[in-house]
Amino acid sequence: MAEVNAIVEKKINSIILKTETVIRWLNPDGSEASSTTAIDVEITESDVTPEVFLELESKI
Amino acid sequence: MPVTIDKFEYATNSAAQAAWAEEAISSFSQAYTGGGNLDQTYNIRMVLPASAISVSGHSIRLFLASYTNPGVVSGCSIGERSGSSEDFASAPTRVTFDGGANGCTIPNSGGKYSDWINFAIDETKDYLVHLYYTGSTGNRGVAQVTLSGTRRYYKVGSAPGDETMTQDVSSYTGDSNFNSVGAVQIKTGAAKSYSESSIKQEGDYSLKIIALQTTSLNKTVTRSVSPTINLTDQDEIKIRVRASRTGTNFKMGLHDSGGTTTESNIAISSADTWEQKTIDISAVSNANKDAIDLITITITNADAENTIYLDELMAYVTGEGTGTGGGLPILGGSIVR
Repeated sequence: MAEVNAIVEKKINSIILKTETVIRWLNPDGSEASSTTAIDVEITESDVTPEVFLELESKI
Repeated sequence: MPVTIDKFEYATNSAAQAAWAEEAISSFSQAYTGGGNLDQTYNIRMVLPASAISVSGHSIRLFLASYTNPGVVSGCSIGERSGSSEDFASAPTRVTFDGGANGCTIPNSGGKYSDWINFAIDETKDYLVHLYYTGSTGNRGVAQVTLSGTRRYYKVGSAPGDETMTQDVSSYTGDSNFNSVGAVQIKTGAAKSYSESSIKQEGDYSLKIIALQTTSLNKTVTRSVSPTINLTDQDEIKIRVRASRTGTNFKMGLHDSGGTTTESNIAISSADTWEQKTIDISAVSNANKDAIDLITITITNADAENTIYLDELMAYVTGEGTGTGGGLPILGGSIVR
């Protein structure tokens, strides 16, 4: 099962959604291992309607 | 088919350290917001005060920043400052560029790193960096800032010649400006790799890493992999390891160029005894392991000094490999959480 950590950053004229997905498991000898994938998505006014962008911005 | 990741066949310490590089600590950093063009040739010495040097080490490299024009530097050196003067306390050490050149052209964007230089730096002492700026009009770009707590000394004109390696100088003008040195990176030796020809498991050599007590905590030894290694459809990684300390004191990480980092603790059961460890990577999608560009050993416990040996790092499909067989599937008691 993966755990997903998310951070939202507000910049001038854009919003950045930072997500980090971590999968954890144990190796055959019981030692811990993990795989971490970080993805940043930047949303600007051109990606959504101005109204939606303002609504997103207001929630941060 | 098994995939060879690294067999650690490095015949010399320098080859081992070039491949498995110790972590560079940024000890001093200066962002430039101004600068200009020098009107003629200058010898310039910048003071790096002890207060700006955060760590001691055995090697350094400088980052030279420039401004709107390229900057031609024909000589560069570093040395301990003598008292509060513009003189070196002893003969300075030359700083080279591009694999041994005395000079370089600092590009007008992006700056320029020097070579790594063997130079023992002590965080309790003040140092001077000497730059000999030459070049024609339009090629004497220099980044400049007024920097509190430091000082520069300079001499205008070509008459004295290159005083990069001159210990004691005269007739330099002093002010509180600072030029060009954008960063100082230091290798501390806290976790450092070596070639090992006696204690080994396969081939002629293994890689030895000495992790010092306390200072090696969270330090890394990293190999940049080029071309990248494709572990598509490989289920497990096996590595032969030996360490002077038992327990979980370091981990190995594999970074895929797509952004995913796969890490695994390495648990040592018996001190000074070779063990083969298996890292299960079957849960990592092919897209996240098809272009491995970095392999990192990170020291996670430095309560005591640890001497670590690595040999024969390979990837296998389950069931391949030597003797100890494949890894367990990630099901049931094999824990995915």
